[in-house]
Amino acid sequence: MKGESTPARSAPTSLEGKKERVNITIVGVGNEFRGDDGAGVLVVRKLREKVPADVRTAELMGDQSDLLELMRSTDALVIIDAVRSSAAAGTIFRVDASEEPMPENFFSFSTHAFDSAQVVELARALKALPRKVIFYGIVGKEFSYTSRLTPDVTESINLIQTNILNEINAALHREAQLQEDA
Amino acid sequence: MKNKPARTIKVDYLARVEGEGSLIVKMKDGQVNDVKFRIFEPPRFFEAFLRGRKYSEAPDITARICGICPIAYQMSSVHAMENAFGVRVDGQLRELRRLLYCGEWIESHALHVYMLHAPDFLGYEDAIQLAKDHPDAVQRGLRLKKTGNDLVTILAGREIHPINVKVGGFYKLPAKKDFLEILERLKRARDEAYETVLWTASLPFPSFECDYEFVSLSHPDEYPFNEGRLVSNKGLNIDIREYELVFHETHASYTNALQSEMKGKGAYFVGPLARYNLNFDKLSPLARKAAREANAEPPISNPFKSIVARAVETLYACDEAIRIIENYEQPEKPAIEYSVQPGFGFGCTEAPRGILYHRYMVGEDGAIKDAKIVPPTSQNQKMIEADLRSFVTANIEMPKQELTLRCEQVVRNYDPCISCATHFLKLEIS
Repeated sequence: MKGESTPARSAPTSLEGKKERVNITIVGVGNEFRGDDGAGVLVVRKLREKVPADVRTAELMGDQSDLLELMRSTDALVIIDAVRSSAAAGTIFRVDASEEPMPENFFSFSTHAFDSAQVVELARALKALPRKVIFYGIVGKEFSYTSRLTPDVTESINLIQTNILNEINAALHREAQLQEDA
Repeated sequence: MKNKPARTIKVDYLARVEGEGSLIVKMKDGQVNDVKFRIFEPPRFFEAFLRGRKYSEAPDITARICGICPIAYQMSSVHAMENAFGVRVDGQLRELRRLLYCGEWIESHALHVYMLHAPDFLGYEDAIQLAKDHPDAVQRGLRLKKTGNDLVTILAGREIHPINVKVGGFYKLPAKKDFLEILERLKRARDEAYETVLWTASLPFPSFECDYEFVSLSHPDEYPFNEGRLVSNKGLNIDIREYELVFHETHASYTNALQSEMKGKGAYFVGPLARYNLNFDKLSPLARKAAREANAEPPISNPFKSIVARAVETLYACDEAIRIIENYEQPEKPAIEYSVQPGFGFGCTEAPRGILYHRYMVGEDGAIKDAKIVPPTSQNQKMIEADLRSFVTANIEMPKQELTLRCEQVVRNYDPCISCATHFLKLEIS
């Protein structure tokens, strides 16, 4: 697993330090017609009804440089994308991209000209990263032209929602406490 | 040159191209033995599943072929259908189609110039490394691209898989006021595109020239987007209906995309450099001025300088978009009326990467009976392989690592859209 982050099931977070309510965006990346590649998009569709009303959700399918635009207008960004890995299908990787670089072996395995991991690093180089960027990678197995998902990926899509909701709620709670203290 | 050890240049996954491809160049005794530009992105069979669908579905179905140049697919398909029905779209509706194409050229060219191609010239592995040392240039490219994206969104409903184009015109027309904000941004983009021309022309170019046959559309009054005759610098001058009399596709077993060639001639060159060389006098005065200032007037036969042609076309697209918006008066109706006629329809427009040919047969009921689509990357494939052969032959003593990078750059000169090129494989089952 060289170069990859540790698989994570817990949901630590830190969006502290901002006095007004943080602006959070959750973006799912991928193509739902290429099997497991659509995992990120499907997670966001399921989360849309569950997150607080002022948390923005977005789906990105094509050229991922659009992620840069989303970064310009958000304080905290959660990205969910499918990745290829030697790990078992359905394994979830969590990378705190605000604290560490994206693993290089997340690069260039996307069906897109610019994948989401590269865009995160491009934004870092341009000093355009939001204060907090959390990347969730779901290991996929089937990336051919199909809308069917690998069963383990389906399971992870359900599991990861709880992680993200916990992460967001904890962040908003901390932020509210900060405002009270202030 | 005998008894030199065999060498192989092999790139398993080409980076900074759209889609999945590889290249292999084999050398022995100081000679190039084999060159293969291989596209292994799986085929998607678009032509097959267009059969039986209604003619009016073609623009939205074919737009799905590519996330980078969907407008080109929509434009070639609507022009083909209008050609079949004897319909001509003129006036402001025609201008809006040109405007839409401006948006697509700006976004596609800016992406390729700054993010995919420029790192080659400046010795960076990718745009991320380039951005660390040249953040202003990369930000300029991103702003240009965003302006193109937003222009497409205004006209087409959304930037990827646009939905507002139909046979006869549009579903919904923008009001003049819808362009107010983008007009100001286009003016800034035009300044940045001018700067881009000068910047690209200052890049270090490998010394390499070939005697190409450049092929593009040519129109008597305008730089070609949507229509014109097919011309070349070697005497070709045909109506687009004659396309299949002159060009044909072949299938090589090592690649999933069909390869086009001129019958009896072989490889030919389509794309920005071909358009630029064949239509320079139709560029706007500002675009020509920038080209002169950059000392980049045609003819240019060094394919590495395609990045300059792309930059000049970006400037032209900004300039043309501003002209169209400033003269825009919203038409009364978003589309003209027509009646469906059975028969053949032909469409050929200039996608960012070169000519995109569509031919349909439509039945009495308006259903598509047959479809043929030839994207620009299919047409450039043989030229890419010919360039690789020529370049490696001329630089056979170059250290392997440097030669490998240069070979990748040779491929990227054409901005290949591999995803586009792989819809057309015919499966033969025995």
